[in-house]
Amino acid sequence: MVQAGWRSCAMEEGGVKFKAFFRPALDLILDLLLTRTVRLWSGDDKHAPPSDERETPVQGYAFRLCEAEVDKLPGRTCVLGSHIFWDSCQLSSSGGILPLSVVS
Amino acid sequence: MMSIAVAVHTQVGYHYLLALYVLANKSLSIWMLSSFSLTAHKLYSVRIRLVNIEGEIEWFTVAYVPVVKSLKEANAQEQAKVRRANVLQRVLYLVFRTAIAASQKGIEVYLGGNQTALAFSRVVLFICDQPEERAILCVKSEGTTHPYSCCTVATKDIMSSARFSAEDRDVVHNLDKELEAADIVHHGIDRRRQMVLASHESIHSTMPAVASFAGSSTPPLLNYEQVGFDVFHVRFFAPFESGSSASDTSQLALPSQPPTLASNVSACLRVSLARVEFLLALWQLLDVEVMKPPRVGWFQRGPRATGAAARPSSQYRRI
Repeated sequence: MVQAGWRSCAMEEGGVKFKAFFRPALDLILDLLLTRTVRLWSGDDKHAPPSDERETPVQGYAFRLCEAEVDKLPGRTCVLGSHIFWDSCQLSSSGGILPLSVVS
Repeated sequence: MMSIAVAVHTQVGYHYLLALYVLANKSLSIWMLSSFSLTAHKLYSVRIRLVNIEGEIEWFTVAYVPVVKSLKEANAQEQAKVRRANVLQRVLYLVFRTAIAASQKGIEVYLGGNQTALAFSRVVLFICDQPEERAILCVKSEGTTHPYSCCTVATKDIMSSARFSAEDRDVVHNLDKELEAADIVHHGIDRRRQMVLASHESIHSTMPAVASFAGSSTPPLLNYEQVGFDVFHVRFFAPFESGSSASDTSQLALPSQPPTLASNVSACLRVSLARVEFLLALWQLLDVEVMKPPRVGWFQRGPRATGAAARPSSQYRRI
């Protein structure tokens, strides 16, 4: 897990101890920038003018609003937009899924 | 292994060691080593995707949030709610801590040819259901006067025309109040003020981690608007692959192309057949488990017993 960039964190909340596993989102994003084909702007090399075109997520309403705000800053700027998914119905469990062999 | 065995043997009472090799095909495996019982990890996964990536959609798991159960204690349900909210926010903050800094200051991205650009990370969409939405935004999910996350419509006005004129939630004002309530809880002072804040603003006394992103709590103030569906990838049936496991490192099976009419019809048929099969199975279960002798009356189903194989008459009491 550590080699894959994962970290564990033991925390105490209200007198109960928990253990969480995570990896920093920014590390993942930087890895993706190096290994994937990336489109940094909604336009060709700058943010696109307002339009009704919604073909890709970078042409979405929220992304364009963020891009317009970032564009006010000096220099050449761009937005790295991310979608987050979390659903408590998607429960990951290690019980009974992994093949085990017992050493006697 | 020997050192572990010795350590277990020196414990008070009768102990034995159950040593396991855990084998998994994918990169993430959770090791279990315990005496007496196999303890399974059950965790909620958080996944992200970078929308700037072109081509196939890829989701990556970035965190496993521990499941918080209610304990046997005074006011257990309320205590568990507080713990759940705090654990979730702490894990989200751990995951996005550096990304939040990058959203404020930016990071240099090389464009090639000695050219660079300053990139700012933003959360443009948080895909989740309504209970999770309330948990992420740290607003109350029940017993609240403002049941909607995006506007301030009161519960009593939901069914009236007043809902059309309800104001949007003021992001900065709400975050200020949440910060004040969290501060009170942290320092353990003025409990009454914290309760007033929580009831008036329908908030938990916890700071939402995602609000720390620039763009959420700074212009364009998307904190209460970023939760929703990805409209490009909404399907009628089974949008996500179910049964993900801890060994499954990342991928959430979202369709890369919008569904066609044929795929929707076939999905509809599959679901209809599944429902029919489920109802038949349920009927059989009821038939076997509920309507079995000796409680049956004259409407009893099942094989008829005749002649010498007939059941004793005492079993056929009419209801």
